[in-house]
Amino acid sequence: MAFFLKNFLVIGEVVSFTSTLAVCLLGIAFVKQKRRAESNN
Amino acid sequence: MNSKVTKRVLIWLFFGMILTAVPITAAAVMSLPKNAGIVDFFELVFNQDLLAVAFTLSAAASADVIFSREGKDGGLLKVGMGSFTMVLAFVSAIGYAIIKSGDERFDPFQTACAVAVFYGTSMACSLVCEALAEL
Repeated sequence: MAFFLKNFLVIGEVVSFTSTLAVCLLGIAFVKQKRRAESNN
Repeated sequence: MNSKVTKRVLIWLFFGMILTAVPITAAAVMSLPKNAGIVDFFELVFNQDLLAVAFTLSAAASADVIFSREGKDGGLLKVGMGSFTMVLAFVSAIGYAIIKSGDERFDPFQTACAVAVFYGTSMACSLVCEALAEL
């Protein structure tokens, strides 16, 4: 717990930045796949 | 782009993001010491108060998208994005509590960088949530 509190800023920064990037990329991939499926039908 | 989406995003950007940042920026400008540099200004603007704003705005945006009744498609995308934004909102809330309590002594520049990342990521996801809420 003490380690978490002491390093919260660094851990939070890295985790929130990388997860946001990952979510954005997944969202773009999801939308592209959906559009491709719609155009094939 | 859909005009309804553009309208909602622009309204949110002005009334949600810009107006809430005005008092914090004004307070930073007023308390800026003489001969202060850009780093001092950065440290004053990106303080814990901005995390309270980020928490409120992103929690509201995630509720908007999760309970959105618009459209029939993209339900999973909406709920997923809303839940992720809610998680980011809670990270901002925890950051606010830790910084505000003052139990841990953080470097001011490191704190400002962390606040900038928390604020930036929550605002970016909230913007996407607001756009998705109209789709």
